[in-house]
Amino acid sequence: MLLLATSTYAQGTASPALLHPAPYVSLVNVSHPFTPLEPNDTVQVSISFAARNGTVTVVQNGGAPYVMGTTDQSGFWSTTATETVQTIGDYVQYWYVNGVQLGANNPYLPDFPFAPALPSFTVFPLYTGSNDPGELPGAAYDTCNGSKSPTAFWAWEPVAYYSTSSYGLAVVGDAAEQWWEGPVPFTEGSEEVEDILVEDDSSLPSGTAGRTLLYNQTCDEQCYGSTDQCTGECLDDSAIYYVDILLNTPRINAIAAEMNVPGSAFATAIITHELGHALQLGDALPSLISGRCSEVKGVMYGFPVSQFSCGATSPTSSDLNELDAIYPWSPPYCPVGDDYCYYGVPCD
Amino acid sequence: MFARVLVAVLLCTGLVCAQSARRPPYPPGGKVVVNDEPFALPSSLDDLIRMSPLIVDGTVTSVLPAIHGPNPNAPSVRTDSLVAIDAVLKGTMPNKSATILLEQGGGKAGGWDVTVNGDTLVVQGERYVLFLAADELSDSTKPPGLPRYAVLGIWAGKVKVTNGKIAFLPRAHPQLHAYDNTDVDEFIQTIRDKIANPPQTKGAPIHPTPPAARQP
Repeated sequence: MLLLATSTYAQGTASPALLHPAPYVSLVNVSHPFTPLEPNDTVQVSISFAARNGTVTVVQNGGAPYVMGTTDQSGFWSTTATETVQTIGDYVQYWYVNGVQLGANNPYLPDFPFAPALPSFTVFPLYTGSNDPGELPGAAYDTCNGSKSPTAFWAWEPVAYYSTSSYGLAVVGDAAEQWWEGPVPFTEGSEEVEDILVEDDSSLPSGTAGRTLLYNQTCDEQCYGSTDQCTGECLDDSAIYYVDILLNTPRINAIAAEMNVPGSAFATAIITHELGHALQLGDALPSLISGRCSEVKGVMYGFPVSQFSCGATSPTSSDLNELDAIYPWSPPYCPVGDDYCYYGVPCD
Repeated sequence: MFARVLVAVLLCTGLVCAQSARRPPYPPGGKVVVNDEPFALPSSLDDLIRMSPLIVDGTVTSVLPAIHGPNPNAPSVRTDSLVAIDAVLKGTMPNKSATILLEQGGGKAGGWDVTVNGDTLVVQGERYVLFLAADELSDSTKPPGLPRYAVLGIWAGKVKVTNGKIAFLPRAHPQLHAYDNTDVDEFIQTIRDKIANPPQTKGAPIHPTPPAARQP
């Protein structure tokens, strides 16, 4: 972090009447808020409610105090810098105004566990490895009889979605549209016609953003082992029966509020990710997780805040290539609303 | 299309009729394994300590009846347990409470037997070192007066103590599994040491305008 070499003075603009009077300093990754710093990110240090026209000083990594500038007449000061390869490393910074150390105003943990914070933070190197989602492990979906099936697929397309979630059908539709390039297209369904149902579930534990349940045909005793009248496919335990996506709506809204974004925007990113699970995609997680944006290769990144903050709102080649591997061809077409099976017509 | 309609008619006349809608009714219940999406997943002990507002050594005193989610048909089940706190390693207990409510996904309710992939429900009498995050949202299922917490990273922050040795849950990161089979007292001391020696939050006093800094 080259604050000491490249900093520039800038006037603060916040209104002192609206905020608490205790002086504080904050450090923010402006490029991708709430994610770790890495080269090319812009970092901003801001001081608020300090002494007017005070001398701003920083001590970094135990070095000599360095004067950075002067607070304005409202006691504000800020500076920005761009991280580079040369600034990669661990930092400890203490900030002072007129020799008085400032308290740090850090993002709330554990909602933003990867956000840089004072006094200690790291500028990470860019992640250069791959981080593709892979296939959802068999244990991650329901076979309704307690056994595991290695893989389950949609046996028809398009797949109809519906929402009883407080985010409404339009938000789910926005998320579904993101997958338009994939081999299994989504379409809007209705209360009567739904392959994927998105619901609120405030009973999920607070650390859980959402839960996606894939049911395969063993859940549907009437259709299991039968021939799909519409497509001619055999509805065995490799055929998905339907999907529930449960959203921890209160927590999603609370974290969105902390990020100062609409709950529906954050929810759209999460639903897009969950729809990836509905298509059999797994989570994309590197072996050592930092939450930095260079790890985020697509919407299937495993942590919603980084996925959202790093702008992964649409599937990328990382997601779609894996999806193409799972679905080398699209499932057979079946019009929405068509009946899909006759029990008693066993597969050949 | 005609052939399909003809088949449908023939089948219906044979007392075998099609489903009336694309999506049939929910199954009546069963045993399921679900994949939950954590907001955060610490991969090292340092991360667990840094991210957890509350770290405790505790014993499960009671497992409460499982709670079913808002959709009575879907396998959304949560189980809360009471954990008596033997030692607080980080943070403070609200209202000096000696017990917390630990929330976990999974359990048996409404005909469903739900297991969260990678997690296991605690059992009465078990001892754990728990890395926790508060659940500040209130709902009607929360007993009054008890602070409620969830395990950080769903499965990552739950460390079981058996015969004096600790073990992370199987899905925890390999870096965390490096501590498996450590003596619990040694593990707790490691946590205490890491907490006692965090990055300093206070720097040395400095002169308001240090002469060295004035030099170009």
